[in-house]
Amino acid sequence: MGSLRAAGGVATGLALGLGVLALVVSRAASAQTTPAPAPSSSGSGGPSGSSDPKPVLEPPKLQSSAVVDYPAGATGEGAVVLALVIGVDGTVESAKALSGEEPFVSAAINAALSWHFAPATKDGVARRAQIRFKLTFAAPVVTPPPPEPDPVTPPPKGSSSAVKTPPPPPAKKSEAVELVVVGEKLAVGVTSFSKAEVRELPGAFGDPFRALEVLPGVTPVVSGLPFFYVRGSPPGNIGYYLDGVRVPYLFHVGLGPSVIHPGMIERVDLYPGGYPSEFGRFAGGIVSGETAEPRHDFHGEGNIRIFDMGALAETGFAKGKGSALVAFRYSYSAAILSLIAKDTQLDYRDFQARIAYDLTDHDRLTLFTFGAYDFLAQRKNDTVNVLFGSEFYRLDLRWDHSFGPRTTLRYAVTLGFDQTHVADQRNSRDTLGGMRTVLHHQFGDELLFRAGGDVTTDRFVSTLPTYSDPENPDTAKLAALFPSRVDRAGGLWLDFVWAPEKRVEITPGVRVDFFHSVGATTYAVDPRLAMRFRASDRVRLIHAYGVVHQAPSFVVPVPGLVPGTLNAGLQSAFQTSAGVEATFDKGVSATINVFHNAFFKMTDALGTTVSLDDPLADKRAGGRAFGLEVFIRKKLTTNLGGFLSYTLSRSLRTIDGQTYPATFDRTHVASAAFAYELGRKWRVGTRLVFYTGSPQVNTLPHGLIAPPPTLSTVRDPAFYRVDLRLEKRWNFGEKAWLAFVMEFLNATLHKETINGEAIGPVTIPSVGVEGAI
Amino acid sequence: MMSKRSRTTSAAMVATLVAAVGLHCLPVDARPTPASVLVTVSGDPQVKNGIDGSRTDGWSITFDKFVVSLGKVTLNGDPCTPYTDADYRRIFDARTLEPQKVSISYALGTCTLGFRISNPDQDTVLSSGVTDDDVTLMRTEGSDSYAGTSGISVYVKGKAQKDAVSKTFTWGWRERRVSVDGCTRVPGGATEELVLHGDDAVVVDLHLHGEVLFRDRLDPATAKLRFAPYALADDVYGDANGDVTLDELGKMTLAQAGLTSADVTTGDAGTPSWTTFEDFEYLGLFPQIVGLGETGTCVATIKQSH
Repeated sequence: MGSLRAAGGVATGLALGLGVLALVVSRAASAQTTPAPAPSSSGSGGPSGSSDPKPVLEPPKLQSSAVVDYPAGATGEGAVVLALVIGVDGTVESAKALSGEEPFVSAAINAALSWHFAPATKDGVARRAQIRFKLTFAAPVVTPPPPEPDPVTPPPKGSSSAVKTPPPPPAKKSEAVELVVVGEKLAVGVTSFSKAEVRELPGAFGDPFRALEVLPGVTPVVSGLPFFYVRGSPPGNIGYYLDGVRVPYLFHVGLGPSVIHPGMIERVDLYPGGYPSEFGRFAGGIVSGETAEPRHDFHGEGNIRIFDMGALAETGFAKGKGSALVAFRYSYSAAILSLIAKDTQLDYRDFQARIAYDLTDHDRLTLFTFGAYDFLAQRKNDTVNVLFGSEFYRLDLRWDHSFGPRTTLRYAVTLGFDQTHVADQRNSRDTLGGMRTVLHHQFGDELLFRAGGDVTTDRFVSTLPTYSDPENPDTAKLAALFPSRVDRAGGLWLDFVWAPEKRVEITPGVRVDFFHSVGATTYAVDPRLAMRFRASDRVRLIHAYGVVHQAPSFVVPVPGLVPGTLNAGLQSAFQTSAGVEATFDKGVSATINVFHNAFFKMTDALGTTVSLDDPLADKRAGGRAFGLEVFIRKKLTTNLGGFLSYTLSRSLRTIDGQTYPATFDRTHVASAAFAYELGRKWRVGTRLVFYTGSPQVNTLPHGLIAPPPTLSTVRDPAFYRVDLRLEKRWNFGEKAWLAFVMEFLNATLHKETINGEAIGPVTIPSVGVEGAI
Repeated sequence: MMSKRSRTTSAAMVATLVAAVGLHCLPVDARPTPASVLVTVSGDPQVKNGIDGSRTDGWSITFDKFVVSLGKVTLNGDPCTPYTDADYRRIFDARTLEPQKVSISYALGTCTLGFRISNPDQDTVLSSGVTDDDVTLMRTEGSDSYAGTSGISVYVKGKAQKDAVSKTFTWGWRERRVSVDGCTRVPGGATEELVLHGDDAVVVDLHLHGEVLFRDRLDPATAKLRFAPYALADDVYGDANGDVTLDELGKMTLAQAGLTSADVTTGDAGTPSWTTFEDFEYLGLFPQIVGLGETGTCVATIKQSH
């Protein structure tokens, strides 16, 4: 362990990870992303009698000099318990105070972010881990003389000396300790937000998925609406996954929250391009949410806001073998709206439930179900007309098995049901089933082999409107675009995460997919390559390349509405990017990327339309997108955290030989946010979102024949908004807390101009109470 | 064995889950069976066969083209429960006499019929006698004295002849949208309401009336047909090239066209602030080309925005 130093005092650190009460392995060993299969292994209370040896688990070990200055202005003793997330490279990815008072908390967090650990390991393989770390600050008057000065960190003003204390002693008592291996090194090019960070992000309302819009490469369609272009790819080409399960959409109707309770989400990853072979059949980006590992202690959280409430509870059972979780969100907007607009009915709900059970030390069964429901209708003369309704449900049963310390396997079966009512009571349903298998095997220390396969079947049933004119062109278009049929798709993939030497990591991969729909069958071969070169301890060069294919997609993701126009071919894209990652002191990191995506046969009705009035048009477009992305970040969970995100890009479409900017091409997109701990558990945050205008594609009156689009277009004016967040938190013991939260998306009430017309202001105020036990 | 607290917690969780799942499900369409309202439109024999000089001031009038973009039928009213809007348009040739479908709508209750005469778009359906060239023409950007950048809602091309004198006319009516919110079967009568019961199959036949463009007053009950003022517009106020344009009508005052304030007034609407013959033609007569049945009329409101 490193040492602690107090200026005029002493701070004592206890690496609580030494006393492991629970350890849950979520993924397979090393590198890269996404759900890798691995069974659970209980450090205590687990099943016994197995003849197989238990995995060898080692918590992170502090290696650097853990120096903590006794904070200026402090008096007396203080104790702070931190939750630290330690990456596989040993850096502290995030630090958050679980208990303690200011100014000790700020001092502890700031110091912890500069520490370095030997990473947690399972069977010798590095893992991302979360530990609790307790620091005890002793008053200067009782501090023993320091043995040696610290040449690096000067003492604060007024201190008499600067010293290092001996390394913190091992935990001597069984204090509350938890080590959770929460992941592994992120894939090349991925940007990730943790749950804790998103909670501090103004305008995200605690929803991890809503935080996506601030990431580099992401171009919003309209402020506040959760539909994005990612490096030029339309919203319908972004794949949404939750624990590897495909999700049709992420957000409730209108400006509603995400369809998954935020308390379930451990982190959200955005793969803007060149992603690992495991992801396929999407020609844009990938958004992958990861749920938190099952916990065996009873805990819960809840929130009540103006328009909705939600809760989550989880507990262990069967002596730690099992864990059960339920969560839900319910909107009572219908009741509120009935007071304002009696004829309008708006409703949304979602639920999640998960049961995980460790059959043996090497086998875990997990049953995960979730779903969401949205409903918008108008009532007149006691007759309800549904304007929009959608729902989806998933049931995922997975078995994680470990063949030993180096090989893991996940086998999963997913069933689902999607349904959407559109105007005129028209139904479109998708009853789906799928299987997937993921195998990981570690060859020595240099090579991780990953492979898998999956098949899906989607039975689409589209009904004509119950009472509608069949000759209405929109009805005919819908019928042609969404025929009843059975779609099948499947794929096999593999890749290698190869580290021939310490500074180099290369991940070549390939996947092969087949697609079948309405009598058309086609195949796609997608090679992928990602590379990370470690130029120094702080700087890495990254490259990612990939070919991706996708069946035709709708304008935006809607449950059950998937075009059946495969006979016109697959969409495809060639994605490339290169950049630099750098880490700095005090938890600051920066990433700069340049990218270029080439698109072929893209179904981007939103981005290619010249009049914005024909979302059902089945147009195919070529095109490309290129740009520069900058992301500078200091974890929002720190005392003073923030980020700056900037994207300079151009997105072009080509139809019939005419090349022109995509409908929502925006040259500059920038977000900046910061959060600051004011003291006494008051925390304030703000976010500025700025982007330049999109092209005015056609401002002619409805129906007129538009002239061919050109590269030089008049653009809408730029838009900016300011989001605010204020939180007052009360802690009760080490786990329980209660917080009053006010948030305001677009607090400045700015209007946005789309195609020459001002809309809005789109704004979301929120006041609520959150808490956890 | 589970502890008592674990059992209680688990039971609560399961109950919550069951409740949550049980509450979810989009409702099925449980609306009562509505009535169907088929709206058709019939052409005008006088457009097809021409207007004989004996019915006018001696000028015989024939039409080479008379196409109308019409649709977006709605059923309105407080006691009316519409099930769906027929939210599309068709282009009709007024020379086609047989009733042609505009659209079919569904509703219950007591409803008034509404529709629009408006510029076609890329989804507009072509009815008998209408060509792609007609659509292209009507969707091509243009403007006139009343409408800015817009397409054409009604396009008329024809010829008038009296003795050895011949005049042509080619008029595009560019107003982007005319909302018709009610029709009556007899001029001056009450707006007809449709009383719709379940399973009723109601047919409403609209008629295109080409001859209204040459009426000498707005009141259909007393109006007569004439062409002389139009010829005068070309001969005296225009370029005398034999083609009567709307711009030439705009150069004539109402008085010069032989119109009195009584001629430009209908019912209780009061006297409009029109000053030119073009005002009378464009804002007064064109909106009257669609009526209910052979003798009925509809109340049309010109709206500038779409």
